[in-house]
Amino acid sequence: MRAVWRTARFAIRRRRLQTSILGAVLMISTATAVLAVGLLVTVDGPFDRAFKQVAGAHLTVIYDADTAPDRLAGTGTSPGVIAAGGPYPVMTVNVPDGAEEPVPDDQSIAFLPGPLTVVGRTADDAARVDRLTLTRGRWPSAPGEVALSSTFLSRFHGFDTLGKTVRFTEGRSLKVVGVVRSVTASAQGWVLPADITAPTGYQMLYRLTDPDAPVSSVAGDLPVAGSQNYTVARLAATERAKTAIPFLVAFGAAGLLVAVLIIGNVVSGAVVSGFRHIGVLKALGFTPAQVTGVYLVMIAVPGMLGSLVGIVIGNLLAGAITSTLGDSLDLPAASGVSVWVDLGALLGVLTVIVVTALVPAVRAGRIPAAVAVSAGSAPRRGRGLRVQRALAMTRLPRTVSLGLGLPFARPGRTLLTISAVALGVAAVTFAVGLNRTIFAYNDDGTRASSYQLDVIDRRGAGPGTVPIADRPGTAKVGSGSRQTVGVTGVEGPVQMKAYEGDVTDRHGHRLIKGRWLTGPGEAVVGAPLLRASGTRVGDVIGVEAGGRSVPLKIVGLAILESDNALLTSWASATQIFPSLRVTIMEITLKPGTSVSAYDAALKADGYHTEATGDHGGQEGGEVVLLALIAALTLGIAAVAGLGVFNTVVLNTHDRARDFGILKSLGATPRQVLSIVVVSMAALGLAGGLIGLPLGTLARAVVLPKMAEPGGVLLPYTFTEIYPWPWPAGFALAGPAIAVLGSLVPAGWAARIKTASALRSE
Amino acid sequence: MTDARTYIQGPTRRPSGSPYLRPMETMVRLRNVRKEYGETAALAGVTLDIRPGEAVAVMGPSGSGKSTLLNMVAGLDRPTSGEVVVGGEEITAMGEAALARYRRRRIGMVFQFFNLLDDLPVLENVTLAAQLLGTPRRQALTRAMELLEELGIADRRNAYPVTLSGGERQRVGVARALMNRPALLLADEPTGALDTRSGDQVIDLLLDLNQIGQTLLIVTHDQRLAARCADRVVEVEDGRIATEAAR
Repeated sequence: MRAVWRTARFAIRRRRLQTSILGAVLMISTATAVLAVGLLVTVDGPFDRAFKQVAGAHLTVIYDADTAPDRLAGTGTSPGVIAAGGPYPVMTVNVPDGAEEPVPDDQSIAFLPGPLTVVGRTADDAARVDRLTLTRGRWPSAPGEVALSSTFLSRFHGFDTLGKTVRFTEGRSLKVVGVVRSVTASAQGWVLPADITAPTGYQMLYRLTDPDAPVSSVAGDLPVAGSQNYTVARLAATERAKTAIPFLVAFGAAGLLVAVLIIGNVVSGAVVSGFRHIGVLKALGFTPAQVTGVYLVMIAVPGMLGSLVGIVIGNLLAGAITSTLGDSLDLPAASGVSVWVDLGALLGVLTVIVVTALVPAVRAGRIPAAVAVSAGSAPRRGRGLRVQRALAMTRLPRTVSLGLGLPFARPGRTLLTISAVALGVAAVTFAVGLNRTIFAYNDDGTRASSYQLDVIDRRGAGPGTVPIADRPGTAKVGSGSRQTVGVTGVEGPVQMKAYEGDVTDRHGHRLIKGRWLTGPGEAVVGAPLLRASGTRVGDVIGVEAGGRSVPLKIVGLAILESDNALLTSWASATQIFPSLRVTIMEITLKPGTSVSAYDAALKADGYHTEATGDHGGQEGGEVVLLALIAALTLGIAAVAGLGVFNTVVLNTHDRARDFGILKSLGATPRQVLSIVVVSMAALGLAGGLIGLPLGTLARAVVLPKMAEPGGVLLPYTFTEIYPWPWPAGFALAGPAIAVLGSLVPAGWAARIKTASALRSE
Repeated sequence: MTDARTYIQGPTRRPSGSPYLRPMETMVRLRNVRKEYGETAALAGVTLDIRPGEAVAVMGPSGSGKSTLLNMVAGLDRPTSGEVVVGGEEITAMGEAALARYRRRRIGMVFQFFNLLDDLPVLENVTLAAQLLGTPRRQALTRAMELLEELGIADRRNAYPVTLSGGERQRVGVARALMNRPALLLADEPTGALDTRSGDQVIDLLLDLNQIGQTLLIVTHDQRLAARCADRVVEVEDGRIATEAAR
């Protein structure tokens, strides 16, 4: 055993380059695998972990205001209750609605109309139930201050709320001083308990032995005004995070597969290229088992070291990404990678190493010493001979035909390399496509290419100001009204928008399905509303506000700015709002007009404006997703590139004699370099041509699955085959990966010392 | 086996005066050439001249520096100091690309272990040298077929090296070396890996070549080869020329 260990140690030292490649490949492969699988697990189960970490409430109950607080506190000892929080005073305040749409300005902020539950609680890090996490600002410290829920605020992405005041219909106003995360989503805002002088109820929070226990099991006969089971918050929190799962599965699988292929190539290549060494060992008296042992140790030790470093890197990356992912997807406390993922990755990589090394190592152990010793010097039976001969007959320059023939000499190695490049290209194709779709979806949502400025209030504009349509730089103005309505069967408010003028003007909206409006009584809706109302295109929905209602037929499905939204004609809208007035103006500028200068001029005239990007743009979750796409694509492409690098190193090692012969015949270093690079470019092109349809297919399959949980339907144009010249670009990514990976070792091949190469006979 | 007349009348015959070199007194000139590997001197100041058309055999024990000397002339290795001039060109000052062009145009090499490309059939092995020079394929094939016929192995043109005997492989090696009509043919132990009969055939071949004016520099242990082919025998010992004897 000592002999095996010593021999393997010296062999590792002697083959520093190969050992380094092996370590690097395993490091990047493991890091990519840990990142992908780790995130997969993290995204799938962060709510439950976070729920446990901050002692989320299984049951939130609001009792009538006239119930005695000591009786409420007593419910904390009811059977099945593990821990209880409260009673906390509750007040319900209402955001004003309707005709006078509130306007955000420098001091105040308006939300969608409707009730807000505000609870009186103090900052208590040791709370036994529903420990609140302050994510921004500070806790309220004086009356009139409020900390708002991050879950609630996520609906108003893009508005900076800190320091601003919210006005309510009750005549109250509260200044936002902080943003708080509650895993239970137990309220929309928190104030000091003393700030609630006339509670509308009391809130009790419970952790239960049976999370699904009914309210009556804790409340008994006490009068209950409302309750919420934790499954509601759970569903809301995980739904958005789940959009990332199909994507992570696709990338995780690609990353793992590339890693396995490259590890297999690197490991078997190391054994094959060491045949002569094996012969010497056998001549010295090593048994077949000992030879196999030497090669397993030679591979396993640097492989394991590389994997361990990869696990550390993967954890660091996953930690950084999951914490951002947690913030952006409003997951309470998404942590890093589970230790089981690390252990699994380590064991998995070890298995791959042993399996891929064992076959050639056992073969090495079995071959006769004389055969092994003469490996390289005895004439080899050529491989891929027909191809070589056919290539020689072509009119291609000889360096090109020699290069093209090279991969056929080692078909196994070539197949592994092509597969790795193909997966690399598929990852690039998929990633670029995903990126493109996310941007396109955002673009269509904000309609940034259709109009550049919103005027959401013109009350400040004085009587003498120039109307927008007459201003220099204005190409088109779409004026309309945005109102909050209710839709039968849909919980919560719905945004209704109606444009003045030609009803057939789409105002830049992209239709996914159906047709555009042609007259009154029709509506075009967004996919989330369709999902929430359980309707289909062609169905009729009831839209109501202020006691008036109108039936609207859904004629089309479009990408709209907000989740629950519908578009209808001005005539339909006036049936609910008889005194409907223009609240928004969407301005399309003439080409070459400066948006900022135009905007400044409008503001100077008292208009309240907003650039298109301000109300749309990429959401936090998308930014993280894009960062993830970039990280995983780079990882996979880097491993594929390293795979090519390794193949060229092995080929150069195998072909040192051939390159020496060519140089002795007068081949210049540049010609040798060309032969090697052409051989790899050919593999790269083959990989590219295989990877392109793979990536396109993955995109077509994975994208709709990603969009589905978020209630997003993608138009066909977002998943269709890439327009020319995109496919050519992706197919060329293969040769690009291959050429980049081969340049350095090809340079070594070109600089090979002819005399030494021929002497190594 | 072909005889010298075949070569004189055949396409490998060199026109009067070399098409590659201007008329000169010396084909190869080595001046005080030293080659050191670390602290070991493989060549310790070798000075040697070879005239056009001359056949010189370099002999000596293993490790004496014979092959190193040949590598210096072939431009496969660079001297630590000294001057190597072949065909009037100082090759020690050349860059890698220029050395490659020099090898294509000026020299042909025959190796002890043949150094054929195992993946290419005989005909492709032979044409390769011409194709690297940029010779059109058709022209290269014609030339290669003529050489293979003259060397008696045209019927093996589609065979792969692994299926040939040692003698056949060496003849393919010679054909490849002659492909670009080199002014200088370098042979490193050309009979070293052959049985007696095959060795004799190669000796005959080299003799014939020399008789039609081919300049030869042969490194060998083989006394018979030196005795039959060489105009001059140079003995190398410990990196120095110990003796030089004309035959």
